[in-house]
Amino acid sequence: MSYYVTVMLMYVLIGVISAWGLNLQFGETGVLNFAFIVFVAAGAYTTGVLSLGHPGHGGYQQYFWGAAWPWPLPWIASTVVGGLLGLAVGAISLRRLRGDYQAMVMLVVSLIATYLVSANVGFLNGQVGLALIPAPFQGSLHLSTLGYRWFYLGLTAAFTLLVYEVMRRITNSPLGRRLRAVRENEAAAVALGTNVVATRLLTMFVGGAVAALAGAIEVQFVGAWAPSGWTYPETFGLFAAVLVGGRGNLGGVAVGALLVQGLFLEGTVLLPNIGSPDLIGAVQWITMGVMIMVFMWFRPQGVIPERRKVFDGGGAATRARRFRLPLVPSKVGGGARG
Amino acid sequence: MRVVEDQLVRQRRDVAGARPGDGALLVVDRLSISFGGVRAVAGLSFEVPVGTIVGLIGPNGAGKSSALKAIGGEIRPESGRIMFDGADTAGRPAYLTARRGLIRTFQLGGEFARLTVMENLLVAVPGIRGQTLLGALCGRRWWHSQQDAEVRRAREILTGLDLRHKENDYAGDLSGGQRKLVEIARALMARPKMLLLDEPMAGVNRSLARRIESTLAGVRDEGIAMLLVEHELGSVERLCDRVVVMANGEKIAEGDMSQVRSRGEVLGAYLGGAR
Repeated sequence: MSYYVTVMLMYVLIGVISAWGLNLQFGETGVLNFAFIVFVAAGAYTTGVLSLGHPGHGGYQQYFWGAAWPWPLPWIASTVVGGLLGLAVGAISLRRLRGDYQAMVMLVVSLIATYLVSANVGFLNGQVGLALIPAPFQGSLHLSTLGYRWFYLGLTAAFTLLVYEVMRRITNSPLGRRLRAVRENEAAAVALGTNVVATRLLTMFVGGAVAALAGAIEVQFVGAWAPSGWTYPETFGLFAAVLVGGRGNLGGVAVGALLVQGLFLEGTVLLPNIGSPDLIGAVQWITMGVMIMVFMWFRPQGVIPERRKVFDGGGAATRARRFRLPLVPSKVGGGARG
Repeated sequence: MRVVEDQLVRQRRDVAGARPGDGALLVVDRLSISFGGVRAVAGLSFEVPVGTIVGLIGPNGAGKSSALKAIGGEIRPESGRIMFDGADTAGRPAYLTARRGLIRTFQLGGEFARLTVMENLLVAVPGIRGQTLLGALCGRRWWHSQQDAEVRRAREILTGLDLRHKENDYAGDLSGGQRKLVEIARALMARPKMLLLDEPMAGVNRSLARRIESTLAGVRDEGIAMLLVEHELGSVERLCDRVVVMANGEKIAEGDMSQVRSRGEVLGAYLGGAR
């Protein structure tokens, strides 16, 4: 049972980190990054090749280059690669295109990336993927398998807190306000001197780096990584977490990741097989799609809505109020009613 | 209004050396704009001196909004020059033009709906700490004192516009007139040298329109120039030092309102028989 608990908690934390990265792009800035899972994969592959060592000739798996860097260097490298990849994908998709076309380009990027890696066996071992990726300190800590899992869970929790603090500082700062302004009204943001493309590229960089970190953590927990694990529907699982939890709210997104990534996607794996072996998987994705639609129709603000930034007498944003449902007519009083 | 005026006095000092009569802040010279071969603006020329309000009027389809968009940098003109504060801004990105001090407001939907009124105003503050990634990661201690000062400035402006009680409301929850006021307040937070106003009185009740008028007059008196596109000719007459009349993409008259309103081509344009 403890084994399943560690697995479940690991996937929840990885889901939370990923969903926070996506929330910065989609929830805060309004960038529909349908290629988000590619950045998770980039982080996973980077940590994979930087942990496996040099590829031997005639070995059971092929990859273009490798090294055996000590932890945390593979994670750091993954974060940098994810950020740079975010800039590259953003430069292709965010300039000269409107939001809906940007989303289409992102989706195409996701498909191309999966096919590229799958088709080119010499690059990252093709469809089979990388395996036997060593985990950090596993040999030196002399822990039982379960004990090591708890250790790795603690390490992941520490990085989850680190990512939370980074996200909190960004979203609560004047930068976060500017991101939300770009999300709300691009033309008005430009008219006030905001370079909208640069602002979105910034969130592609940070969100990509966070996604890659999540991939790096996951790959050393699982020990393997293959294209079947990062197909484009995985991105919609993360979108579901953000939409269900509450876009623009870090706590809400964490709850969304717990519900969608943990209980819904991973928890159902523990269910006994009913009928066809593929039935549970199919029902998972169908139900998730329905859930996205239901929330977008009836509760677009999610379970825990974005917090309203209220300024106290000294000027600091302190209290938070719940976002009122747009369907409820607002009571506007006072002198200036036009 | 007194508080707003005090604000503007301070803001006025930031507009270095700007005094009414100093010369043209905006020069539009033979501006032409086409969309897919259709000429929207043809050879438009006019100037906006420092500390004045120039009205840009004309019937629907005259090319006013296209001209305004080109001046603001939103669309690239086909030909002509747009000199703002000594620099040619024609075809430059809109955000760079805004950073030079030319701030635009919108006819409809210019607010950040799910940001509070206070946040709407703070977004406009140029160069505030914590707007960069590094500044944000440094944490609240790095930027909060500067933000506190801007919050106080925003409150003074909101008080002058009788909107202080709305500072924590979402801008999207306000009435149409209140949103227009928020846009004007937000533009003032940007420390502009000049405002491009796209029908600020459209869809606003009479008392609020008068308040917007008095606010704009106060802003003008403190040295901030304005280019006003407006259909409400009474407001144009009360506010504008000069008006430029357009029809079919061309300038057909220029002068003060009393001069242009009696001219036959202007009457013809408004009555449907332009030129």
